[in-house]
Amino acid sequence: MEPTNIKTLSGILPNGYFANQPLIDECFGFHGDVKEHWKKLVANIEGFGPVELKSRQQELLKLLQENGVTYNVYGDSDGLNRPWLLDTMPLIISAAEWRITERGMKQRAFVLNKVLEDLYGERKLLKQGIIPPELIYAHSGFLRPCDKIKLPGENQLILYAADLSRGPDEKVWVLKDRTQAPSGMGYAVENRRALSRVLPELFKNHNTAKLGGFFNNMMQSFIEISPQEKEQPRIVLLTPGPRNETYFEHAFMASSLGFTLVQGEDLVVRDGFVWIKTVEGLERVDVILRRVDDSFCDPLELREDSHLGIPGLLEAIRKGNVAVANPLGSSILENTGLMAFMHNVFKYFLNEDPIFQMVATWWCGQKKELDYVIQNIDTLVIKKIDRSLGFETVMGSRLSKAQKENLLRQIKSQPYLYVGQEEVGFSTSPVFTNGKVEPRHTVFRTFLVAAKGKYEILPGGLTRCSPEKGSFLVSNQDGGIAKDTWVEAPVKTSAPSLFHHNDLKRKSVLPSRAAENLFWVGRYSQRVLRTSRFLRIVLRNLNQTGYLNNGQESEAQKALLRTVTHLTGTYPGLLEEDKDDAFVENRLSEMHQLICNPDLVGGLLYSLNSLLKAMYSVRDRWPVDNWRIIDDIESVKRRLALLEPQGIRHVFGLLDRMNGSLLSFLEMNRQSMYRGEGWTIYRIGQLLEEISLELTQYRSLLTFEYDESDEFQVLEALLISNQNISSYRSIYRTYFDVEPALDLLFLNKKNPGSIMAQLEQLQNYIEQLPKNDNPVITNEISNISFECYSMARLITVKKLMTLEPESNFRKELDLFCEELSTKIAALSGKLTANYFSHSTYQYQGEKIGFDLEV
Amino acid sequence: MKYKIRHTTEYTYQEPVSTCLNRLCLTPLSLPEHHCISSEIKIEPTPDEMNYRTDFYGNTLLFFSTYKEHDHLEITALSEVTIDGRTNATLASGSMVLSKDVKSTLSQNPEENQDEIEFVLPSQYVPDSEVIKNFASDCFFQESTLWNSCQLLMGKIRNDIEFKPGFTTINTPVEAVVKGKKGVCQDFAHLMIACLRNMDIPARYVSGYIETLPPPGKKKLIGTDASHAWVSVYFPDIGWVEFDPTNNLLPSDKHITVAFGRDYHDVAPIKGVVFGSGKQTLDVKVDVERVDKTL
Repeated sequence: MEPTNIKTLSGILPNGYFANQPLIDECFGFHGDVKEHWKKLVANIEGFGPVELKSRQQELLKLLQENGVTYNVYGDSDGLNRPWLLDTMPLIISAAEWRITERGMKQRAFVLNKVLEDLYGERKLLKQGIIPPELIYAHSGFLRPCDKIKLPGENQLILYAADLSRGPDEKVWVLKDRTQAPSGMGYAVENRRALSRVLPELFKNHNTAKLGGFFNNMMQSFIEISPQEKEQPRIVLLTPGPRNETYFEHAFMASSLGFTLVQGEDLVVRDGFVWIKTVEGLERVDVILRRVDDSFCDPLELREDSHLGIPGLLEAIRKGNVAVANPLGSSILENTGLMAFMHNVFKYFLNEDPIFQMVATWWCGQKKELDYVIQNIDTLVIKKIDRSLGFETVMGSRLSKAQKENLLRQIKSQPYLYVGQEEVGFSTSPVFTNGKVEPRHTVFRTFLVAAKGKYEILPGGLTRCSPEKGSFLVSNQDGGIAKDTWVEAPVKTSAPSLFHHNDLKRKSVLPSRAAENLFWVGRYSQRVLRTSRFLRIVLRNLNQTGYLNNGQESEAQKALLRTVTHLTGTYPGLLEEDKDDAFVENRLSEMHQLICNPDLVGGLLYSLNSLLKAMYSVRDRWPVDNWRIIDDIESVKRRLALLEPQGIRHVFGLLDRMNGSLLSFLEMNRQSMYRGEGWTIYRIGQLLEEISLELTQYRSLLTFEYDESDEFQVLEALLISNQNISSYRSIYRTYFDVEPALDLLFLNKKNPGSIMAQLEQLQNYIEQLPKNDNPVITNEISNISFECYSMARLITVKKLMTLEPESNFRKELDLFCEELSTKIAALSGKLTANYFSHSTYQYQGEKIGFDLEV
Repeated sequence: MKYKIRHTTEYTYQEPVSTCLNRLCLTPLSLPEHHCISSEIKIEPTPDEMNYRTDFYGNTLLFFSTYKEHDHLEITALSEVTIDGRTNATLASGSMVLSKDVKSTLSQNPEENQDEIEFVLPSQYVPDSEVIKNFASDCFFQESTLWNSCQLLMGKIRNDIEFKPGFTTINTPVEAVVKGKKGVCQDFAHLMIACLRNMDIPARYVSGYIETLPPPGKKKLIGTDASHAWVSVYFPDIGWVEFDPTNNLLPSDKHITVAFGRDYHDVAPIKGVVFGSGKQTLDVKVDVERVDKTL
């Protein structure tokens, strides 16, 4: 039937929405009529008009970007930054349909839970021939060391997600189950927040179910599985780290729900318990919400090549001293081949048919099914049973003859690893893109959590649409478009908000690794600031050289260039005098390297990358507004990395923007960071870096007495790059002179950047450090800091000024800088050893070969 | 036959290690004709935790951990085992089951044979491989009995592959062993298992010890024995039958079984993680002493 023109959504919905579209649409009927439960939304959308909607859409994407919502590899120098695309139009699910969805999903969760329990328990499903043993034994998700391990309570499957879609028969189908470590619920919450902030008018006349209650159930569920059912369990969220594609969600969930965000190396097993390494010592962990794949969780008993897990974790789990959700081994349920047997499994456990149909699946491990798949390969989708085998899903119809033969050969050689599935076309929903509404294929991910022997469902979820019209590819990797998902609530509900859980009264802890990252954020931010300011001055200076000094390098300039090398530690660098005629060009190209080469250790871009990496690793600890600033720094970094050598004279704008952002970041922290251990360690990092860089700079520039004009240049450059020039003028009201400059830079306590003022602050922060179980080192740290402070107290400007007889060498200044630098470095070393203990581990050696023959 | 086995593993760490966590698979199995009378594992320094458990395949594992700083670790497993012989080998020699029929016999009764089916599938050290299939093919002609195939295969491996320590590591793939024609008992075992599984026959890895005799007229030296590995093949209606491809013989009462698994990975005698970054050295001594010669 030819669809008629659609009258609604004038201007937004063009004619031809349904062109070449044989499938069902969620919102529109075949005649262009809007389905009942979408009418209010369509009216609200029409209220905006295309121009306004487009501008709101931009606002929405901007907000999401500012909130740091991404699905990507974060802080990656390759720049794989994929913004989260959210449609302005939500997906609406009617109350009647939701009732079925809820029943269907709860039924499925119930059955999958039974399957999980059975596979790691009695394995009746295998013994009674309901599931062929090969299907389980050949799947990498069946973790034999997890056999017979059970969580307390009836639920083994704690979190469950499934992808649903509407088939051509109007019925909802289950496409796949996610039981390993289901992702997406954080995105679902963030989608709702962003949409309601940017397009509040959309919600007019709607009763949309709230999402918060689900997270309370989740919390309850964690309490139920925690050892001894503690009321205040310590819950951690185990993430693979900032390079994981859903790291945003890990950080978001941890900070929203009050969990400590940890990586494998933050945890240790000791005496049969799992502990988190904090700056104050070890703290016990009761529940681990895991976002690391199960086979990576314990390098002692599972994958040995994993660096994301905790050696000995399984043993602690067996003892019942820690609960992990989802339990290790739950990825077996993601076995695609199970789909072929689920009907029988439902019968076996419930004596019911599944409420939701599944995509018809043929497991090739059986002769008849194998033959069917071989014969019908042109109409089937071929998958491996195991996601971890790295096999792309293949549509038989799209294969060339050679590809098909190759695939068939692979299938015949290990048939039990393959399934054929019916190619299902799913329904579309309207997506607003490029100023108009287009139908896009749509998949809806729904989430359930175990609660008191039953399951509760999130009344909403994560809807994703294909990035291109007509494509069935819907996944985050391929760049899908997300939709907020509205479930019609029958009456006004007053579900509690998501932030209900901060009543977890446990004292929060600072994991050692987080402390270390905070320390390095402190250090690197000062390093980037000071280096870039100084480089900027030297660059300006170089640019003027052509006109000054008859084109020669002056003494002052040599001193400045030397200092650049000392400051960045990029030896031999600029230490040697360049006698070449083109020395300015040479210097400029070296400066370009110093600023733009990401692999030059000590160079600006290198430090900036290190800074960003440290920032991302503790992103759950920054005020939200800082996420936006970090994003901005990231974008400057990308531009710096692309800067060509001939463009180096234009670097000033970028450096100014970077410093501006970095200063806002620091100021934001100063205003809002909680003054706890994290703050102390971050500040100590800043101070140590600042003091040690200043000492390097002063030692390099001020140890020798120069001619008046060179001295002038050196002092001017130093004071400008130190942001001290106006203070100098207002206090000393004199021509640049070394004596007042030394006073200002070293000893004047009213100059917050002076060595003295900073040592005083350092001394304060050191006294606030947590006292952990190593009093000897803690005392040593405190002593070194006091020695540093005393050194500065006891020195005078006069002494610093003293020249060696018959020379222009200020020996006392040189000595002072050297000694103090050494002490500062020692202090940093002791802090690192005491608070950021690294546990590198290796494998117990194995006897290679058995050298014996009878 | 009765044996006393002493298996000592000594680790020396260049830098002290703060913590170690280990999984040991050193306790011999008790089976119908193979009795583990006693078993004791001594560990120095004394561990903070020790826990025995039975793994998925029925082997006894010991988990232990030490949280005291140490630069030396000594693990000594002392066991006493009596062996009455291996009757299945005799039964199997009369079996008329054809190699090509084994798989279908199993699939007819998947419920009963679910455990055996697992041992037809590839595992970490036992790949599905054309190279291996080709290597094995002449031992599996059209009407060969399983017994015949196993004998031929064992002989072929013994003939084609030279026993030579130092050419392979535990991570050398079996295909490379076929190509290099050298290996040690693990390689012999993995290769034979791989051949069998590629021919759809259930085969598992056996970890254990073997009694060795000194050259004639010489006294047996202490610590000169070693761990050993061989193969166990499933014969329908009979059960698991053992073959020792390294020595081209049928184990009877000189092979002491510690554990069964899919391959070495399941039953490695010692698997552990140590916290520390220095180098380590390892020394292993095994003594298999026959204590009762009259039985």
